[in-house]
Amino acid sequence: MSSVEEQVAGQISEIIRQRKTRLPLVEGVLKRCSSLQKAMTVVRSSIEQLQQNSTENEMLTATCQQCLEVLLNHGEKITDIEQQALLARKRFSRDTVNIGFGGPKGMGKSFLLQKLSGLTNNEVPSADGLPVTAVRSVIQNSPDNCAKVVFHTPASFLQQRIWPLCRNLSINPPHTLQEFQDIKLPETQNSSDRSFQCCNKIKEYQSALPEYRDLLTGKEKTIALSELRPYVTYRLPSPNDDKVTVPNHVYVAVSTVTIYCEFPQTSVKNLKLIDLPGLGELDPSLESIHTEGFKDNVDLCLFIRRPSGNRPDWDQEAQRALDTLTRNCPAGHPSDFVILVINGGGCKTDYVTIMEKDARDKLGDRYTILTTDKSDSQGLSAEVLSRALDHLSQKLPKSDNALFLGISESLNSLSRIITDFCDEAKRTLRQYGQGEDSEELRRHAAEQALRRFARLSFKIRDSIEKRAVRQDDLTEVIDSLDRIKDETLEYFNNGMQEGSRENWLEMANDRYAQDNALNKVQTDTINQMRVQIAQRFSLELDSVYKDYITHEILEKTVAALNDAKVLNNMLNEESAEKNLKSFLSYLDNTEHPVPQMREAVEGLITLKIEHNAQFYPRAYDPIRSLKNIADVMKIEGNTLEERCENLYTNLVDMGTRTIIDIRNKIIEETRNNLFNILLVAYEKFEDSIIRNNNVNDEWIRFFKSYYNDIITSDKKANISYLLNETLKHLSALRDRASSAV
Amino acid sequence: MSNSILDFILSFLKKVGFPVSGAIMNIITDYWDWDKLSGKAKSPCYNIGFFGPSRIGKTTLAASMVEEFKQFSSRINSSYLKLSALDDITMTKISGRINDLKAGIEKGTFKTGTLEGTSDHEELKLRFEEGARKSFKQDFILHDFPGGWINDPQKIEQLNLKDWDVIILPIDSVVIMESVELEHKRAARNDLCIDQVENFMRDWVKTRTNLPSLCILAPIKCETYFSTPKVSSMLADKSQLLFNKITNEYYKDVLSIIQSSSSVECLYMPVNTIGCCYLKMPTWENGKLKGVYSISFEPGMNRWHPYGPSYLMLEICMFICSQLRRLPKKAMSSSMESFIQATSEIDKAMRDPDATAPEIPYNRKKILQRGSFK
Repeated sequence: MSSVEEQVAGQISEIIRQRKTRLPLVEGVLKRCSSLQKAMTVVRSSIEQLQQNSTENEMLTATCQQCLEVLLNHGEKITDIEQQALLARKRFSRDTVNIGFGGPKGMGKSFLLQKLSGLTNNEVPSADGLPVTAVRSVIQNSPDNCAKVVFHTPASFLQQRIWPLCRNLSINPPHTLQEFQDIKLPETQNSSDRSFQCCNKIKEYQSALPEYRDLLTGKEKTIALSELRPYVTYRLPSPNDDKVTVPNHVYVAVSTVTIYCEFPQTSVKNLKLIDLPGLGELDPSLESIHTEGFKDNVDLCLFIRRPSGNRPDWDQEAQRALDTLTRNCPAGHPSDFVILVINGGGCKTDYVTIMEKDARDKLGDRYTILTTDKSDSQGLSAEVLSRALDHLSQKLPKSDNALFLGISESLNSLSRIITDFCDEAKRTLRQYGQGEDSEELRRHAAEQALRRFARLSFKIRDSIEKRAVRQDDLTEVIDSLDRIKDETLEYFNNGMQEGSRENWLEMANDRYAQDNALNKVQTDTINQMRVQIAQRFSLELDSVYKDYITHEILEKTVAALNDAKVLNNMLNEESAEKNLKSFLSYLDNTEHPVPQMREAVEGLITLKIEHNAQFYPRAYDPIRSLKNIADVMKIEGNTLEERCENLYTNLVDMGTRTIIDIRNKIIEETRNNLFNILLVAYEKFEDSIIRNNNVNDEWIRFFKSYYNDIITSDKKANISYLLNETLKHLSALRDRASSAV
Repeated sequence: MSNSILDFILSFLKKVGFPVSGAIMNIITDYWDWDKLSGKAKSPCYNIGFFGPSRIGKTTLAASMVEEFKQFSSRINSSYLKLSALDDITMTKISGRINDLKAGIEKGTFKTGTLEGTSDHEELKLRFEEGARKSFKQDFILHDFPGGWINDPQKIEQLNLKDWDVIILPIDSVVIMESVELEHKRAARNDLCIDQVENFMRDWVKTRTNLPSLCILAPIKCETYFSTPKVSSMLADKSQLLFNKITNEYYKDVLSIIQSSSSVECLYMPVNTIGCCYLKMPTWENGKLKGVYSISFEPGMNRWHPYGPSYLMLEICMFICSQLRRLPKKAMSSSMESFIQATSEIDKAMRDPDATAPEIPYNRKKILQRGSFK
């Protein structure tokens, strides 16, 4: 290996390594695109809803429509950028550099591939002037000597082979093999007509279906190189005569072929050569395969041309073919991506010269043009492959850079556009959505509502305070307690966990016989009683307290909000809690934040009175007494049975007394304190929403946000809410777009 | 003794601010009557009244006071003070009540309201006698009357309240402590006849102006609310709560009436008249509190076991002694002094932790008002 070759090999390795380092940046682009798409979807939905509900406001509706159209456009652009980034990711993920061999049929691509890769006709079939390569083959420089064949599935076969033909014929594409077999083809006469040729192709595939049908599995198969030919070529040598060929249709079922072999004349290990079916082939599907592969799979394309006696110059066909190739150039100038190779082997030197000169005249100096008349591996490697690799090592880094920068810059530019769009959209939506009402009107309305609400709120607080001072018996609490008491006493009188008094006595007798003492029975039973008492009291009372909160505070507060026309009776959910949550969402959606009002309302929604935390500790002494006697209680009796009976009676009596004491204590505690708790909570709410510093300003901000909905007398859709929500989502989209830059 | 001299003495005593009760008056006239003094040394009778509604336990309290004091004083060797019934009727009534109590307990259950109520004004005539020589005798009467009379002012008038030197107000602790709900509290006030008690006390205090008097607020049925004696291991001490409810809530106005007079001493002395049962579960019927009681399972506690009534009797005795001490020196006989001495001895003995009485509930006593006569 020469030092130049070594250098090139090193550069290629470095290019591959550099590409890998770019992958996180590409992922970043994809993530930002996804984030923007999500935000735009949300904005679109908001604007659609706003548009649907503002039919009476023509300007607003029209503005919404414009916004939707712009958003659609931006969405498509983001999709384009995403697609580019996905291709870049695929490109940068590869472990090889790939050189594609393209050009019309019969230019010697396959021959060149054979010589460069060291393969033979069997693996890469080639023949003068005849189309032989039916499948896109990829040849990788590798010490393994084998081929991997990937077969089509029925669906991919139809999509890639048949549908392009159907499109040409303007007929419905089949979706199943049966439909394919039953295709009704149009009548065509002219044999040179493309339609005629497409029809013939379809008929050929139909008649040959039994030959390849069973191969349409979608699976991958590894085969020896000697067995490859049927999978890659249109025709095979006749079994009888090598010089005669017969049609072969096995290739139809093949999607891709990858050949692994050691390239004889290059030191660049991470190298793939891609053989593409000829441009301008009769089968238009092949052309789409040809160009599709370039987007992510080819780093350099060698466009092979061979001058002929008829047309040695750079003709229109050549130009068209070049255009097809360069159309999918990933980045940079097409001349970085495509090298012309004039295959002069077997041609007159004059023709080669004419073609070269004509091409240079028409294409200019930018394109690299290689000419060769070699037919051996070494010669072709030196004149074509080495120079192509050298070109790659120079151009590819720039091209990769340009690709990535192009994507990045597109995204940044689009992000700036989206940012500007958001600002403009907010301005115009606000202008047409909020009307021309003056600042002063809103301030006045807010202050009036605050005063009304303050008056009504005073009555609520006063009512709670009076009950707190009066210390009435709380009937609902007493009823609950009596229910709990009766149930618990029934449990005690029915032998607790044993289910009946008799069972309990039997258990006690048995345990005494076992332990020679009743201490354990005593302790266990007391523990059972204690646990039952604790659990039963806790379970029911929390919901009773919650009802007090609902009736005394939540319902009255909602009524006050409605009566004070804070939201023009828009709080009309089925429960007070839902209404307050609805009010909270209004507070969340104001254009400028109202934190004190929000905190006040949230405090009410989350208000809880928990029996275990607030009242049970104060009524705990009877339980403590019950626990304390477990070890000290002494029971007498003349016989074991008598002792057990006395123990049971005493335990039940004590349990009864305990329940009565707890019940009485809770009645007193709730009577003395429940309404104090409610009062303190409500006062806190009032202080935050009415008396706190700067809360006046918050009311004004709230009214500014919802003015239209609050002030207008006839019921209509909640435009202000929807508008505020849309403005909020536009702000979020703007934030994402500006952070993406 | 001539009336003119007597009138002179009375008016002189009044001028110098020395009020004279009926009993003292009797002593002074006796002083002049040497026959009476040289012969039978006896102080005139004191009247002790129980005032409270029906079924509260007045009779049981009276019987418990007598019975427990007799048992206790007989165990104290140094005591020369004896308590006895003056007639068979008294003896029969007391022992009959005690037997009914014990019988109810022996059956294993105890139901309130099964003891017979008082149908008429009954007097339990009793006597303190100074010990060995029995030379000084002090009679006194415990007045028990039907609780239904509490609503009949004419009947009350018949009782001649101004002669009652000591009033004992039995208070139903169970009604006080178990009335938690407001409607029960309102009913409790009716059950305890608080208004009637206030009216009565107002009248009594007025009649006793400048006359040394003693009022004892005696909460009964306290077994459930004190942790000693131990009726049940799980009963917590709620004595302070009971005291607060009585003095600051239900009987607050009664105390105000008492405190308006300087001559009435007022004590708070909760007692257990049964001692062996506690309230398991209160029930309410037509606004009235009924109780389901459990007999104690504590060793030795399943029998009649009063706690404190003897100390009420002791306070009566000490009150009488305090009146005797106020006599002029010349009216004080040696037997009276022995009697007073014997009372001091028994008082000391009953507070002595080594005394034969196993428990000393004297710490339950609280002085609510100290009379100016001391």
